Amino acid sequence: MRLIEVLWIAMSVACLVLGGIHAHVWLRRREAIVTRANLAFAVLAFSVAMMGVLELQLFRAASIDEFKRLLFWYHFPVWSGFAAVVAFTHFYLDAGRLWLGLTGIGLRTVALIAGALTGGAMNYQRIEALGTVDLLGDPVVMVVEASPSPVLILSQSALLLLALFLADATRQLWRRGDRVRALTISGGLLLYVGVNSALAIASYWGFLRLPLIGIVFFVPMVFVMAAYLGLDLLRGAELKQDLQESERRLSLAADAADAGLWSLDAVTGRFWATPRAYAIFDIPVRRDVSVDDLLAVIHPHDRHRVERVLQAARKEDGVSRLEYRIRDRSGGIRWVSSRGSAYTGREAGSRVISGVIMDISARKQAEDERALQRVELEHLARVNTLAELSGTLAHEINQPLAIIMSNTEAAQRLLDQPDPDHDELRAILADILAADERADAVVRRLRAMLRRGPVERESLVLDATVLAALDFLSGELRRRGVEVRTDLQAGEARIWGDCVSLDQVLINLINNACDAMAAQSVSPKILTLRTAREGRTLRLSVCDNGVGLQVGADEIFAPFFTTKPAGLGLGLAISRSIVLAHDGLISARANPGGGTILELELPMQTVRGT
Amino acid sequence: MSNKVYLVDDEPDLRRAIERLLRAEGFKVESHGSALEFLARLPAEADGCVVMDLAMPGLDGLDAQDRLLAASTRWPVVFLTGHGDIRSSVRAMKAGAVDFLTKPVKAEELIASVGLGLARVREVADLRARYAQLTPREREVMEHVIAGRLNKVIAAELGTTEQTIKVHRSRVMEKLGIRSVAALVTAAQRLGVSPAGGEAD
Repeated sequence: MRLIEVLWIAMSVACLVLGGIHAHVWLRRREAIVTRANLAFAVLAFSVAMMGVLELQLFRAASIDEFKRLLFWYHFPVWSGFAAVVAFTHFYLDAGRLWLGLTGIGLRTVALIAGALTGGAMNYQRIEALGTVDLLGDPVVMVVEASPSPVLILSQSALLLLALFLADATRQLWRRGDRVRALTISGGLLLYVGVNSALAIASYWGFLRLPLIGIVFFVPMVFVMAAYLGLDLLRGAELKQDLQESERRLSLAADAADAGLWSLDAVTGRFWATPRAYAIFDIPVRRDVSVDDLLAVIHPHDRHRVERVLQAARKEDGVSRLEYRIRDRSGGIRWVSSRGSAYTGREAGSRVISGVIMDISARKQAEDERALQRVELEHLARVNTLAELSGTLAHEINQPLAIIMSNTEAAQRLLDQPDPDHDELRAILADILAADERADAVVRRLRAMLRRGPVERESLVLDATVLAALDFLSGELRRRGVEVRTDLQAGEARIWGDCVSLDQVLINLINNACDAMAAQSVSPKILTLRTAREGRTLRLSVCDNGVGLQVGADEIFAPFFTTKPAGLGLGLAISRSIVLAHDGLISARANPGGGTILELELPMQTVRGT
Repeated sequence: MSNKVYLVDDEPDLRRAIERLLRAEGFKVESHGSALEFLARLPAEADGCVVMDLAMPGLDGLDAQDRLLAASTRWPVVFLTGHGDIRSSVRAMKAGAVDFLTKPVKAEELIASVGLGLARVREVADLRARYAQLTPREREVMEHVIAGRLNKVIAAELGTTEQTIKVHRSRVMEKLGIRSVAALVTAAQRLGVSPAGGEAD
């Protein structure tokens, strides 16, 4: 076999192999945008291989007719190679003004069609004679005498556009700082196109006697491109390894935190999850888990909430946090905390929602238990408060009973008179009714305070709540000789709170104030209650002129802190926990005129029912 | 015949109820919302029974009783209380209260106590009328007698004979309707008559 045949066949085979590899890469990951560069390369390599085969045959053409026929076919791989260069530059280098390249392809297509239709030898109007020229010690056939066709102008213009497109791409890459690729790939392509065009023009116009050896110029470029693409593949493999490693680390961390990881492509429905995530969701391990499958395990009460978040995740990127219940296959209910994020996936049009899921049943249970304990403790404190107030409370019930009894006996005596005074009797009955209602209100309040139950929030007018508490304690205050002054300026401003709990706070603060004033014989004992509105905050202060703070202002809120011999030391601690549960603050400070001021800050309720 | 009741209670509803009850029983009732108000309008002579709440703002019942004692005549006091403790009741009774009743009070109990108080008022009024009939000399002798002095000592003090003192003394007893010295001492206390020159040695 001649050297020339060996070389040409070797180059063609090399191109075929390289093209085959990248065609395979493209086929495997057709949907990914990045593999379009592999496709463009494969087309270019196959075209070059084809060119090599045809060139070899052209070297051995026996007649002008055979040469013309081969030349006709030769121009197809040239066309596809041309298009592939534009596509590769666009997809792989992401450079060059696409309209330049596309116009070049269009012009080349017109030239191809025109050349084929004119029945001539493509760029030649007529081939007059073929001759042989020595190439690597071997005589090869080439055109020695011919007249150029007008089609040549078209194909040369297309080449010029391609050169412009590549020059533009090189400039862009250079500017982007991607100088190595600018020089090697697009610069190389430009050089090839320039040299090839110059040689083609020279030989066509007879300045140079060269056979068709396009493959020689193409192959180095193909190799450079293959090297870059190969490096990318290698880097991809390395990245994959890194990714796997990082995934392993992530899984390890997730397992250590007892968290499950999962991701779901909302478009393709592809699901991936760690074994822990499958266990938490309590769904069988399989790949085709749909959004509906996941929703199905969620507690019906929470499903709507989760669905809304998923719906939003399909549309826009973002991070979401959710806590919801899962009903497992055994019928048990578990609380999970989920943190998810949504983003556009690597494949065009895909939508990935991925997340971390944790079983927080234990935490929830602890929270519930804490809440229950708080309720119990508040109840205990209320009972204790009522015990302290028992004397007053007995009086509060006794008083109406006394009123009822004396009125009734007065009425009986009036009725025994010969001409009873009906107006007086009516007044007596009205007083009896009023006393009865008063006793009923006291009993009702007692029952509410003794009830052990969950917090029930409602809209409360602060000033009215304060007045109600003062009314409840009026007997106690009178008995202890305390003079009450009020300066209630909150008006109709409301808070969103639990009536019983807030009563408890008020009763506690008023009681403490009375105790502080009883401890020393201050005279007169003045209790001042003030409310005020400051922006969106309602302020309530309870001032006394008693003994004042004996310890630090914060210390008094500590549990089991008490100055009273029979005190539990829970009153203020619980008052504070109630106020905090109402998003408020409680603080104590010395009253400038002697005594203590306890102050509450509570957020004002702006919209009803929120 | 006095049938006046002074009712002192800070709670208007209860005050009104008891006032009605007492009126229906035929008493004349004068109500006061506080002890201070009552003391400010206190008549010179005890002419009725006081029915008073124990726990009141300002001046409480027991302190009011002390002030009443300081007044020239002794007022009969019936205490009403919501939650009476033993200490207050002992103090009140020692100070001469007629009764110590807990609310809610039965009408019969209240009326009986008020009756008792009014009887005392009447006794004092009667005693006072009798005392008015004594001559200055007889009053002088009475003051010496309740001081615990013997007739002989009194005679020496007043510069007269023992016999004369004996006559005066029996006149005093007769006019006041009293048989024993002990009763005379009590009557003197009720009348607000103090012994002459302090107690006898």
